[in-house]
Amino acid sequence: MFLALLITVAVSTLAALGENRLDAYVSVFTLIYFALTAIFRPRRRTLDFLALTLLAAFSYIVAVKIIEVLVKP
Amino acid sequence: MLIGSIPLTAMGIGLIIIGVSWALTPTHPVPRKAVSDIVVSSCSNIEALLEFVGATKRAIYVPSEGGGKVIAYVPLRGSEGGLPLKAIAENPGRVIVRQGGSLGIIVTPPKIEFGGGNPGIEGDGSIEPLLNYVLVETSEIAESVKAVRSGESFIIEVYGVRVDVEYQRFRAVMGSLPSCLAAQVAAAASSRPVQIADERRDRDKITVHLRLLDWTETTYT
Repeated sequence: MFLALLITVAVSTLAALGENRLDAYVSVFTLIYFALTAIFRPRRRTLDFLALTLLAAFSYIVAVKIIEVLVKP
Repeated sequence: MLIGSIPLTAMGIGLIIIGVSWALTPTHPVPRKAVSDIVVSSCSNIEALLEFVGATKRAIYVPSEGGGKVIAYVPLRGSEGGLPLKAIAENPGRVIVRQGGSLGIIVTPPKIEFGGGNPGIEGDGSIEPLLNYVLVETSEIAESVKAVRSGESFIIEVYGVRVDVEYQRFRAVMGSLPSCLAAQVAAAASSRPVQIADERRDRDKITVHLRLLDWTETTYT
């Protein structure tokens, strides 16, 4: 429930601010997911592959940003 | 249009995250420690009984006539022409079973309810959905389970075992806890007696070989 609420709020807020980068949305989703997971510690039926997927996506986004900064002339 | 709009695409991704998160969350979560403690304490009684009677042979999981309930017959002494398994199913209330030279005890194994009556096997003969329900969804004893039927036996692989008992006699006779539950599921689903033929453990993975027995077979197996 909190996850749905926070994701809706995040999308609404970022869209209202005119954010048009998908990586920004995904990064915020990742932060929300891990923050809620850390707070509520929900039980999982299997390995939390959603967390792994989000972590991989977040790592990729950060890596791309770092490379952009490093190779910037 | 959806792909063209970043906020809508992001909302779609958000909905996928919510959906997957919901699917990963068990519907009726129970405290794992509580389940583990209850299971282990119930097994300690069986361990004490098996130790007392000196049981060494593998138990036979027998579905009762009424359906649903599965009892474990532990053979103690066998002889040719022993008690037919059908007779055990018809009288599940007994504790000590003696006929001729055969002697055994009936134990109620630790079990997870999976609905009243015989749930039946799916069309392809697979008990995997039922095992998944018992071992993964309801009890959360394991992370996943796979099962295939090979003739008169089931080969079951249980992955990510979280709860088990360390009682040696219990494991020798009844099998490990996941195997014990899997044997009960197989017995109830197939409406036939089942015996654990082989069990191998590789870290948190257990491979169980269950043998389906005929009702006409005797306890001397």
